[in-house]
Amino acid sequence: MGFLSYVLRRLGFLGLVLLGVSMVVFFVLRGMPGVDPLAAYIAPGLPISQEALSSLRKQLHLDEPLPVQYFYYVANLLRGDWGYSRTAAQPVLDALLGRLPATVELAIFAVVLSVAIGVPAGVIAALRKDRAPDIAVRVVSITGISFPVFWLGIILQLVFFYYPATLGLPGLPSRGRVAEEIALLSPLAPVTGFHLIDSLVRGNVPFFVSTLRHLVLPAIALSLISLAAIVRIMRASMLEVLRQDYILLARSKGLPLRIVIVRHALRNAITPVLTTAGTTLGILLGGAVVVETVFSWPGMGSLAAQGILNNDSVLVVGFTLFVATMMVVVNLAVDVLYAVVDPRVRY
Amino acid sequence: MRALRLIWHSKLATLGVVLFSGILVAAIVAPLVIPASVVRDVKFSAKLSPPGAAHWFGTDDFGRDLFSMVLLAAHLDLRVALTVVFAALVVGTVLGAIAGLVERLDEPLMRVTDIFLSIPSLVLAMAIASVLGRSLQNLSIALIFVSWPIYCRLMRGQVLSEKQKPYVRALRTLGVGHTRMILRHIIPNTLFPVVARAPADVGLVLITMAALSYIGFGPGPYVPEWGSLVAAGQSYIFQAPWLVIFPGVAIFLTSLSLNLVGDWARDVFDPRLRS
Amino acid sequence: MATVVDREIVLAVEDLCVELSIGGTWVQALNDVSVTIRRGEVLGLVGESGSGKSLTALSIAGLLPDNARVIAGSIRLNGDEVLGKSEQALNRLRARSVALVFQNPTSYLNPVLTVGDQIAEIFELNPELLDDGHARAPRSRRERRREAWRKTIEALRLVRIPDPAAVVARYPFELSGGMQQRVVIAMALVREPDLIIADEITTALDVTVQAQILSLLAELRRSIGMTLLLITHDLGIVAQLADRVAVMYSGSVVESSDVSSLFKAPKHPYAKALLETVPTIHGDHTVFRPIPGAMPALTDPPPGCRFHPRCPDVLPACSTVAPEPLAVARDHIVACHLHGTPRR
Repeated sequence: MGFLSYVLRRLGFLGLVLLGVSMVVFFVLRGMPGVDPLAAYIAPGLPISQEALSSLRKQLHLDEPLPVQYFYYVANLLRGDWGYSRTAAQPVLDALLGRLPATVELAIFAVVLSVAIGVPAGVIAALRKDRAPDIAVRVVSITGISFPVFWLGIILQLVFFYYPATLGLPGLPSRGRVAEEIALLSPLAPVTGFHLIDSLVRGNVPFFVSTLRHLVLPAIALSLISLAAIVRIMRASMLEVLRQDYILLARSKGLPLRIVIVRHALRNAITPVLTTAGTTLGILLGGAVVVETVFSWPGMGSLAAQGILNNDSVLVVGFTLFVATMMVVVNLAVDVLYAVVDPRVRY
Repeated sequence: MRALRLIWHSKLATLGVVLFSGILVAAIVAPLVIPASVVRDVKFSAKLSPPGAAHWFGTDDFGRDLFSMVLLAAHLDLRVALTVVFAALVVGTVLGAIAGLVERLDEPLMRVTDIFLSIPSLVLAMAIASVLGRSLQNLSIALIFVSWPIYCRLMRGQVLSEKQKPYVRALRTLGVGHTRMILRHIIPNTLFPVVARAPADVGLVLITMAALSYIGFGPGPYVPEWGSLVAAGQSYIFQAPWLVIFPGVAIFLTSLSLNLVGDWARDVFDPRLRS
Repeated sequence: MATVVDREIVLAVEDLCVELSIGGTWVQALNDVSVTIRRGEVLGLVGESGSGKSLTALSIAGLLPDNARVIAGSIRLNGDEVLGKSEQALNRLRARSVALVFQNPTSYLNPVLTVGDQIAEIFELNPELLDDGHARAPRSRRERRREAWRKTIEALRLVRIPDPAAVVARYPFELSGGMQQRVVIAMALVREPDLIIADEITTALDVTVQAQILSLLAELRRSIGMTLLLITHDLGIVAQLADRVAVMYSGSVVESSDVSSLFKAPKHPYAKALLETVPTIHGDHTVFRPIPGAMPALTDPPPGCRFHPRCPDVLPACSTVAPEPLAVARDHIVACHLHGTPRR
């Protein structure tokens, strides 16, 4: 029962945060001084009639006081009406949902990559503190966070796509989610929108392989940010845990080092890493905007990037709200995972 | 002075300081030495030439000298990044101090920062900038909005823990006045860990701004900026990779030097910070 | 108490010298420490904090921290030399031969694992413990797990934990300090070790709980005849449980004998003073007799005998020559110039 009430409490808190986010977003969209709320809905340079303008004003309830507008805004959000995007030529929510699987697939791949590499690297750095592996890991991680993500993406393309192409060597693809020939020759009937899952479900091996190859470079570029953070926090956390008394007792029981590390130390040390992985997802989603642009990845991020160039504030703001919601969900998942790993939290 | 001697102890931090100083000097000197007209100096005969004696970083598709443009961009990028972080620092620490000292305002201020912090910075900056419209000033405002919450939260935490310290209570029993206590004792002791965050933050703001410019939302095509230089160079990535490499390296080195200093500052001023 | 002098020697520490790295320099922390414990015997190792008791304990199990190193001496457990063993061999030693119980049970139990898990893993590591001798040895993994669980509950019952079947699934933070310490003791007992080392195991507990734990130890001693190195600063505990006593001061053993000899007629001035520090009540006022001064810092030890600055019976030789341990009676060793010097 402790577990369930904990989850509900977290849900409630995060719901409030989401509400707050909607307020901020609404303020940005409508309430900011010096900003004409209508500007977002009108394509610049296009003539528009007075009646179209006034009907738009009525639709948006712009003549009513702000709190009332906010009420309508939230009501619309909950109904699924997030506005219409000029860039996507679709309602905002539909456009975002349509591109969601591409972004999520990339983000998950990146997170998996950063955890799979980051956790062992951090553990090794902690075990070999101040010796060669530790220094190497720390150097790599600090250079990692200094790279601008978009530039890294371009360099990866240069090294793994363009140069191999000139030399006639096999390289990794730099655009899109799947090779065009494969999409034409052995097309995939989508199930979830996640190409990796769908192609496995449908038994479409060429599609699966091509998707995997296309995921590599953008995922590496995206994972760099969270990788550096995870390595550092894993190392720091592990060092802290290894100093604890219960580790001494575990060793005094004659347990081999492997078991002490994995069963006793890691379970205690991993919790800050979980939180970090959760928070880095946010940075990841931000980074997705540029990475998707660099690699022409058809996800929400690249759509938002086009939107910002188009002055399509409705889309960009909708994207912001969507990302905030995703982060709330991820935070909840992290909190749940926390309670599973550390029983003290449930009470 | 003592700070400088402390930095000397850490080789990495010293490297960071030296590197950043070099870049800063170049950035300050650039607009004085390089004529702004270089941006409009179209010379098709020299277009896309590789790095050499005449053009240290090569030229772009308009025949413009990349080295000059990268330096001018340094000026712009650093100016914006430093101003933004400074403004965010001021706003954030003031609000944070208020939150820590005035009980009633603590909760609402923390809720607001929570909300801001729950949206990824690039995304929020995009949203604000897109609504405000495309200009360098609006970009800066957006970045300030995105950067202040962390300082607010740090400052508030510091003030709260400082208030609990025994010496504060001791001073109160001695009759030290409220205002004097805040200004002369609490604030100076709390500022260091918060300010220690700033160098790394400058790097972050820099990269965010470059990213926004890269996707096209930066200052116009005749204002050199590292991110937009990279974007412009991407079309010629194959024939002229230097167009992409040099501006990127500039961002990387600046950010690296700032991170080295920032890491050291965090270790020195706040070894227990684990956020 | 029946004499145990004829029984075999379980632990023989001889002239153990250990150095500690403090602020970059290595200082002598243990000077020629020698103790012996025979099977079934309880040796009380007494001293103030910083006298080197815990370091001795850790050395025996090969668990010295990175800033400590053994520079001389020998530690023999059942005749087997401990120093110089590989980490793997040490693990085997720690698994079955020597078990430690520490001071603060809350910090020594892993907070994210249940109490049962932390005991059962010992059986997982040493499946031979599951062979009861009379029953058929469990074969499959599932059988072993069930048997391990059963033995875990049995172990908890042995240390007098109420409702062991329920406690087995609890996490350490759900138990009181006394119960936690019993769990750690259970962890030591199930390994059936040759030697149990208890380092200040009741210091962090309430007096009433302390009494319970001590009575538990006394009973276990009677029932299973355990060999115990009891480290404490509390002479009362020594009087209650120990057969023999070794008194440590600033890294050396200054006196060791059987309990009654020490309490009745202590020879070393420090041991004497220690016994006198127990406050006595005369009428309506209490008399305190603390030992003047403080234990010297390891980085700056006094020359000769380390106790001489605080000694009420100091001789001129004490400030120049460190006294050697000498036998003054059968099984009674003192390191003091007052009781025989090597030159004479």
